[in-house]
Amino acid sequence: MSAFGLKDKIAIVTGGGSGIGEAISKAYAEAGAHVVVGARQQERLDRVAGEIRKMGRESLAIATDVTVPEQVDNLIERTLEKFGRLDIMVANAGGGGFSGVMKATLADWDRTIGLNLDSAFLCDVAAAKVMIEQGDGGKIINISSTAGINLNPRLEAYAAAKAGMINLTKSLAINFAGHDINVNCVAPGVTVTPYMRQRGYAPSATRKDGTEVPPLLLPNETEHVADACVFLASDAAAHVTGELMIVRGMFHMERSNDVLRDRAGLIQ
Amino acid sequence: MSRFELTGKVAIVTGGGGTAHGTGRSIALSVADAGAKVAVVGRHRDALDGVVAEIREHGGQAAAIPADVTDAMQVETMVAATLDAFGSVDILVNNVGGITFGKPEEITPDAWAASISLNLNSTFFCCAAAARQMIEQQGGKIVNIASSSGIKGEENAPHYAAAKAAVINLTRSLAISWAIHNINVNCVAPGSVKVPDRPIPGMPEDEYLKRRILQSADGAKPLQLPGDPKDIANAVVYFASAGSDLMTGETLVVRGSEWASAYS
Repeated sequence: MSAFGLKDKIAIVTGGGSGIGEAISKAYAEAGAHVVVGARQQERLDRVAGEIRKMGRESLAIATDVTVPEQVDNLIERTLEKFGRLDIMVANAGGGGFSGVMKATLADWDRTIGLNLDSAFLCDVAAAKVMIEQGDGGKIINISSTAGINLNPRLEAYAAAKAGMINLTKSLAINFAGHDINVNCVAPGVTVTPYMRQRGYAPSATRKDGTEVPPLLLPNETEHVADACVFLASDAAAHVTGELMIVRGMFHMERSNDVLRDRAGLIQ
Repeated sequence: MSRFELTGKVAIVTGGGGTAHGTGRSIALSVADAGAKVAVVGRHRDALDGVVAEIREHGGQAAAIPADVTDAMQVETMVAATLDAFGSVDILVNNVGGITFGKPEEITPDAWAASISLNLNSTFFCCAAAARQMIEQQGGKIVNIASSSGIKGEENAPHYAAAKAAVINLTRSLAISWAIHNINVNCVAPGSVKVPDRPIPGMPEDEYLKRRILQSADGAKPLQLPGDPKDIANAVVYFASAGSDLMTGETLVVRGSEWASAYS
């Protein structure tokens, strides 16, 4: 089972202060890695870093805007100062927010592309430079979204950026294969973050008719995405590169069944 | 780590007696190493006994269950024998399969039917029989072994490539059908896997030599070379484990950077 472990690996997780990034950071620590978390809000990072240290692993919390090259460089430099090397980069930072294609300005578009796609380019390449210099390989994981695969009438810029990330992954995988660096992509479907749960956006596990929703028909928990990221960062995925792992059950099926039941008057 | 363990689970591994590349053997050993009890299924009793003995040497539990899984009746018997031995069926790994080579215009109807039977029918029969049990148990994990041939095509094995493509899409259909029963159905599609020192029966000599040369390329990194059976086995363990609980209908291709040359 040691093939699935990350003992004493050094990982950077961007967007590591909350949501999916927080879950990835903790899962990495659980698997034995030391984790550097980077995101814009220092307070959130400090909390996650504190929790990782309580797990007996080391952690650094470095406030970073991953759309700014100098700040990405700083994130890497501080990691090397503290740990002397870098084994795993998870480009997870990203987010939606786009005012609809008819109203959006080029600045709106650029902001979303910058946060979701430029950030991956900056982090991936900066990490690869270190890994190539080290000469013993590495793992790069980009967190895309099923928005980058599905039809998306309302997330134009986000969906385009996430689709771009999927193909960036393949290009980098070819470029870096000769250095034994694996570059892969994880595309989560709808994932319930603590923030969504607090706000009451998490779908109920019980239907209106009182029956339970089967686990595979529920949306992801953040841990499900983290599990895929542990696998891809581990020796178990040594021969996987340029691939896309879509993490989603059949939540869309449950949702369309809901619509059907509604229309059939079966839901009171 | 515990997310990837299979402790207390019962797994059926078809073609577990060791295929030409030893992928089946590697899967059976890895699944056992992760903690599962393994029903090792195949046509040749001797080969099965060998793998079972290896698993036991490592402290695992296993049983040899001889069956030809291209025969639906024998598949039913296989599931019954697994239940007799271990009491449940939690994991099914459909690893049985095989490639034969021939120019498309020269492939006989019999050769075509044999490839579909071995690579596709066997997968469907085993999925259906195991799922009937898993539905009763209200959950399970099915991992089908396809091939990158099922995605990119195969110059001198169109019957194999077509069957493997069908396995990938069968995986998607079954994933939809059985999601309500909490059965995950996923697929691992290996690219080239290292060939052993001895020639593989049925593989043309030039094909074998080509592969030997490819896998010994000086200066190439592992990601630029054919994979190891262990790489395939690890992906299978992932899809058999709780670590993939919210993945279903997916295909993970395990082929290093081989695809780069396939598409350029």
